[in-house]
Amino acid sequence: MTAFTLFLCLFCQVLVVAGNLLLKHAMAGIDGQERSRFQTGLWLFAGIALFSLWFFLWLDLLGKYELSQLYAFEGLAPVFLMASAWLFLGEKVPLRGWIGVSLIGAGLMLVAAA
Amino acid sequence: MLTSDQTLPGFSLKLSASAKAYIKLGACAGLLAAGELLLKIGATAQPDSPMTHWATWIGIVFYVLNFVAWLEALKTIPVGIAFAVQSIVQLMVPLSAWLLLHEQISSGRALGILLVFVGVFLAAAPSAVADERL
Repeated sequence: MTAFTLFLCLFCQVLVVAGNLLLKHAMAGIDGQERSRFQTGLWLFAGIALFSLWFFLWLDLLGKYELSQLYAFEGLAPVFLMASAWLFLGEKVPLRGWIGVSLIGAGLMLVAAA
Repeated sequence: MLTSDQTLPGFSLKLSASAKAYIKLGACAGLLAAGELLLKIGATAQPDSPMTHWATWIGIVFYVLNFVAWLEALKTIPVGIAFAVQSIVQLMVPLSAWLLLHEQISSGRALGILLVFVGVFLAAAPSAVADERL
């Protein structure tokens, strides 16, 4: 696996994380206020665009590399997502949330690689 | 449909807002798992042209329903926790291979599955959403 492939695998996880942040932003937002239909649609569209990019990139990687190698990267997504939702959307995460998501990340990597 | 203040005779069933949110999240996971399974059936039955198989199309419908349920769940659940719970779907393949096909499961993989379940239990505990506006 070259450095560029490694970058693409990580980039795929970043796309999933960013896409989900946009969906959450569309549906609830930071301030919890109702959004106009136009605004919701705009953020949803941005999220779906990122998921589409992710889909084709991931499909291409799936055709070239072993599943166990690729799926190990998916363990990163829940951890990245919880951290970025805390950072960018101001979601409150209790300590047991951080411990839980770390176990999930480690567990998914073990399942993929073992 | 059950609403939060509906009661059954001799047995009161009140669903809190967070319980309802988690039911939506459970529906998401179920729809996603079913969608993946159907796509797999379609792709296995018609490897060269999966789009001609009925299972592929029902699988796509399930994916769309999953997306709608996911958006509905995100209205109330923090996305970090919702996504963490959804990780259970990724255990579907190794678990079904073990339960239905009686395939051997390596000890490393079994440990991984256990870690994910403990992690989801910790992350999804109702206290995690107690202070969310629901």
